[in-house]
Amino acid sequence: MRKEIIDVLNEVKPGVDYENETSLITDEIITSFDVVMLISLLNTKFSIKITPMDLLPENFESIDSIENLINKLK
Amino acid sequence: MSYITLKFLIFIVLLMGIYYLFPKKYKWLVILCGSFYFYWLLSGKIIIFNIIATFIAFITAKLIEKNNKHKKGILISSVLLILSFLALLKYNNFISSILNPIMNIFNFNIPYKKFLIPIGISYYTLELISYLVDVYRKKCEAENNYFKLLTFFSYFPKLIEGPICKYRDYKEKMFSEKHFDYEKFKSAWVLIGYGFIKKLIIADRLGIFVDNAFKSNTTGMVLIMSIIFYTIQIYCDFSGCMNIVSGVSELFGIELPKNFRRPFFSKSIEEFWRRWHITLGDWLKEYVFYPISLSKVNLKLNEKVRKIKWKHIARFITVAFPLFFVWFLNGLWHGASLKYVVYGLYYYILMMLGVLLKPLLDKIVKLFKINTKVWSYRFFQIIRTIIIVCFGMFLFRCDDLNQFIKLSQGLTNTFITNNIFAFGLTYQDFLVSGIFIVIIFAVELAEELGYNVREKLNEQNLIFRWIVYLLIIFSILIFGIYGRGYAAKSFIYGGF
Repeated sequence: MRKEIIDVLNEVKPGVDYENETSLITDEIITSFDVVMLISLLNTKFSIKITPMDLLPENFESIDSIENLINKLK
Repeated sequence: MSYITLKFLIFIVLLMGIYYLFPKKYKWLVILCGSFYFYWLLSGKIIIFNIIATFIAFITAKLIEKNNKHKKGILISSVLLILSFLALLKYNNFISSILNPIMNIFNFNIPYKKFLIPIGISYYTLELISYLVDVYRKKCEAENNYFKLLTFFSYFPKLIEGPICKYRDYKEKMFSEKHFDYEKFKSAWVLIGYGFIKKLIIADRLGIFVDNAFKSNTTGMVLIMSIIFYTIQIYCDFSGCMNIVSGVSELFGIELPKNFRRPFFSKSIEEFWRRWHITLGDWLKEYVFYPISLSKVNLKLNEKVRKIKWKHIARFITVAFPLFFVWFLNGLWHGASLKYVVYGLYYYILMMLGVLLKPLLDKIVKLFKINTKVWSYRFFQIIRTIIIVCFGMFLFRCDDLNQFIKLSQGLTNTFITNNIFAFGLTYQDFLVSGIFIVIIFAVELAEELGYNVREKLNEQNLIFRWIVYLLIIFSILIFGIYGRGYAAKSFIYGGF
């Protein structure tokens, strides 16, 4: 799943070392525009439904947190 | 009673004394009483709107929590009811001017009536909506004590100009145990003094020039000067107020969120709006941008556009729809007139152009081998952003679109120079403004480079610290714009 998440992130914003980044939102590496694209791609790829209630910065800070969110919603 | 009066300073010192003497469990009651005393002096009987709106939020939050089946309907009804106060009191003229041309066709007319607008209504309305939505989304529990809720929504430091706070983040801070901390007490007064310098020495001084220049519909270099002065004025006025209210709140052990993060160091207008009026931007992002972006309509649109070959066009289409509402509401929130709507949409158009033209700009950078990591390029980006912001502030300052169009024609007359001393400021005023603007810039540059100026000041020896404290106090007393012939200008953002 991690590789699929990285592929999605690279589709939204390429050129970032997503394996080692742990503050994607705090450090503004991913903006709110990127989050919108990311959510749409994650919803389609993993057949989940991310709602505004899941829109907490800590859910998108790193690959680990995104993976946890997907597992929670599956 | 304004924030920048001796009366207000006496009020907070007395309130502080009572606050720290009161039993820990009931300290918040002191805040509640102090807030209503302050609110009563400002607004009189119309504080009733705050009391009623908070009561509506209190009841409906409990209903939302208990009633899962109908909670969406309850949320929508309560938000509309709370918004109706704002619509009636602040926007009735704007609404009737938009609708009446259509209503007149059917021989109807919405009457216009000028109402007294309750202080802070634009701010606490957004806070009430965020509380209800957070309860709906289960990010916050409904408050069981109406008076605690009222304490938060009438909290006097943030009443006039924000910052816009979320109950879920402030419930703990507001009602937890507080002990007097002498170090934080001193630091808070430094912040208050800094805010007074920005407001009384810089903002109110430059405001004299700006008011006279715009009143006389000036042109040429003086117009350009007044646009730049206005940009500095509004920044010092608003951020100065934020320094004062944050400092006052710190005296009571409650840290308010930052509303500014050195916006004039921004390299793009997106970055500028993440650093200017931060709490409004956060509110619009959480309660407008994301809900619309994640709506079925937008997600379906997103799925369709992803099939487009050009990714940046897909991105443009995906964000254009929700972002329109963000900027429309941003503009409208500032004021009930078309000018403010155009102001919001000015930034919307610029941002959308940025998204659309990004691949072309990236190609240009690559073609000319422009190094975007060097300080000179970043400096260019900062200056470019400042110019865009100044133009937006020019529109913001004009009385209406007519004045904006009229004065814009005068912008090109750059070689016409009126006597700059004919607009209310002497040579000494320019000198004082210049010196203090440089001081503020130096402080902000230090902060931008990661240097916490207040913390570093606290670490210094007693004599040095007291020299700085006395310099702050005497600067305000000597160079502040007040005294015979002047009335301290009311805060610009308090008018929203």
